[in-house]
Amino acid sequence: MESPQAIQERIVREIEEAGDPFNQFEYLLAKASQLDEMPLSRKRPEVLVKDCQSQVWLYLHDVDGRPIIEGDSDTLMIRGTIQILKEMFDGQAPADIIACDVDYIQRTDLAYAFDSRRVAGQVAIVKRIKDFALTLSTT
Amino acid sequence: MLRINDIRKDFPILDQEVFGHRLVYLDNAATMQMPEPVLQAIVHHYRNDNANVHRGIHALSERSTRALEDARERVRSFINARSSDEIVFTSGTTASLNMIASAVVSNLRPESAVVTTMMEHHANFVPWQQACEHTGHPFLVAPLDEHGDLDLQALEGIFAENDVALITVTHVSNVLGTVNPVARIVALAHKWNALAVVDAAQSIRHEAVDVQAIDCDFLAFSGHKMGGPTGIGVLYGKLELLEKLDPVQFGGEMVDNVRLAGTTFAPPPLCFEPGTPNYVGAIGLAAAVDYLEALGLEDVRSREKQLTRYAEDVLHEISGLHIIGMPAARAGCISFTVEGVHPFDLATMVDKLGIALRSGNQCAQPLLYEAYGIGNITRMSPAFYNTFDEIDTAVSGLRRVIELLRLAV
Repeated sequence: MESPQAIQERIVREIEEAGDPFNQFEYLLAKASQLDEMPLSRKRPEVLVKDCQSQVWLYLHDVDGRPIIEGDSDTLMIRGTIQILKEMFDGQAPADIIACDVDYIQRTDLAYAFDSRRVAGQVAIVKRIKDFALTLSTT
Repeated sequence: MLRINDIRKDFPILDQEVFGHRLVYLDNAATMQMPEPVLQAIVHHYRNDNANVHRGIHALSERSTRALEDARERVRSFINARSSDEIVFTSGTTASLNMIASAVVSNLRPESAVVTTMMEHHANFVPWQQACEHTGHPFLVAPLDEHGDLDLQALEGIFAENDVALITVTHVSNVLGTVNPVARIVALAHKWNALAVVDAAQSIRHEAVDVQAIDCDFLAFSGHKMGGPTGIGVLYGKLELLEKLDPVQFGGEMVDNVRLAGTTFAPPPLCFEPGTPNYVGAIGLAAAVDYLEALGLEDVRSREKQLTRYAEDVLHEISGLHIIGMPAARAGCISFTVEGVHPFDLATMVDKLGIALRSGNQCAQPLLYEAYGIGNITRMSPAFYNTFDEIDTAVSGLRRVIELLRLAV
C-alpha cells in the first residue's frame, strides 16, 4: 500500500499534468464525482466541520484500527478535496496519517481558489482526521 | 456618447491576462477600478504636497489642507449639498452608517421605532439593529413584494401603525439592483416626523444623487464604488442636524478646547473627523468626481443601464439560471442562482477563465435567507468601461462551467 505522502506526491503530479488552472479544477471536479454522496441521515450536527465556509460533513470510523473517511459538502470543490483526503488516508496506519503534511493545495494552482478562510476550513478538515487517527493510535 | 476604446485606456488594470485569459472584470458593485487621473492625483499629492492637514503652519500643510477642503467642496457640489460643512469624510459607507446610527438612535424619542428594509446590505442593517438592541427602540423591517421592489404600501402601514422616528433605506440594492424611490420614501418619513437616512453606496455611480432633491437627512457613500480609492467615504448630513449631534469618536483635530474639567468640540464637519483624516483618499475621491463629470454623468448612467439590461437578457437564456428579483427599475447588478450549481464552484471556475464575478451572500443575509430562502448567489455587476463583448465572454464562460459542474454532480 502506498503511503499517504506517496499518494499525495502522485496527486500533485496528476494535478500539475492536468494543465492550466482551469484544467486543474476540472481534475478536482472529477475527484468530486468519485465521492459517494453521504446519506442525509448521517449529516448530523456532530459530523459538521466548523470553520468551513461551505457546509462540510465528515464521518470518521475505523476498520481494524485504520480510519475510513466518509464526507460530503455542498460545493463540488470541497467534495473533490475530501475525495483526495480519502484516497490518501483511508485504511492507512494512524502514525503515517499523523506524520503526513497535507500541502497539495499550496503546491498547485488550486491554491488560487483557497483564500485564508477556505484554507482554515481545509486545516479544520485535516485536523479532524488527524485527531481521529491519534485516537486510534492510542487505543 | 462615451468613447469606450478611449475610456479603457484610462483603466490599464483592465488590460491584462488572468490565468492565460483576457480579464473580464464584472465585479464593479464590490469595487470599481480607478482611472489614471485618480491614480495620478494620489501620486501627485504624495510626491508634491503631502503633509498632515489642519493647524500646520508650513507650506506643505497648507497645500494639503487646501486640497482636502477643495475635495470637500467638490463632493458638496457633486451631491448638491447646501454647504461643504455638511460633508463629513469617513473611511467608507459602513463607517458613515455606523457613525450616524451611534449618534442618532440614543437620542430618538423613547419607544419610537427605527425602520429599515429587507433588501439592506449588512452595513445598513446591523448598526441600526445593534443600536436598537442597546437602547430598546423597536427595530422594524419593511418587506419586499414578489418582484424585489420595496412594498411601499406595507411601508406606509408601518408608519401609520407605529411611532417611527427614523427610516434608513438603500437607494440601490447591492443584490437585486432595485432602485428605490428614495425621494418618495423620504417624503413619507418627513410626513410622519421621522428622519430619513439613505445608503447611496451603490447608487452613487448609477443614479443621480442630489441630496436636496431627495431631501434626505443623512446619506452615506464610498469612494471606491465610483472610481475613487478605498478607505474614503462620505457622511452627508443636513447642517442643522449635524450641529445637534454629539461626536461618537474622539481624538485630535476634532476638538475646540480640552481642559481637565471637560472638552468642547469643533463645529461640523471636523467634530466628526477625529485624528488624521484620509486626506489623500479625499483628494482621490474628488479626482474621481472630476473624471465622472468630465465623461458625463448621464452618459455613464445610461451606459451602465444598457450593459445591465443586456446582461440580464443574455443570462436569462441560460437554462436553469434564475435571476433574483425582477424590480421595476434595476441598476448596476444582476444576481442569480443556477440549479444544481453552487455559487462558490461557479465563481471559482469562471475565475480560471479570467472572468471576475462575485459569489456569496453579498452581505445581505436577511434578504437572501429570509426573503428568498437561499444562502448564496452569484453576482455580475458591469461598469461603464465594460463592453457588450465582455458580457458575452462571461456568459459563454458561465455556460461552459455550468455544463462541467452539472456533469460532476
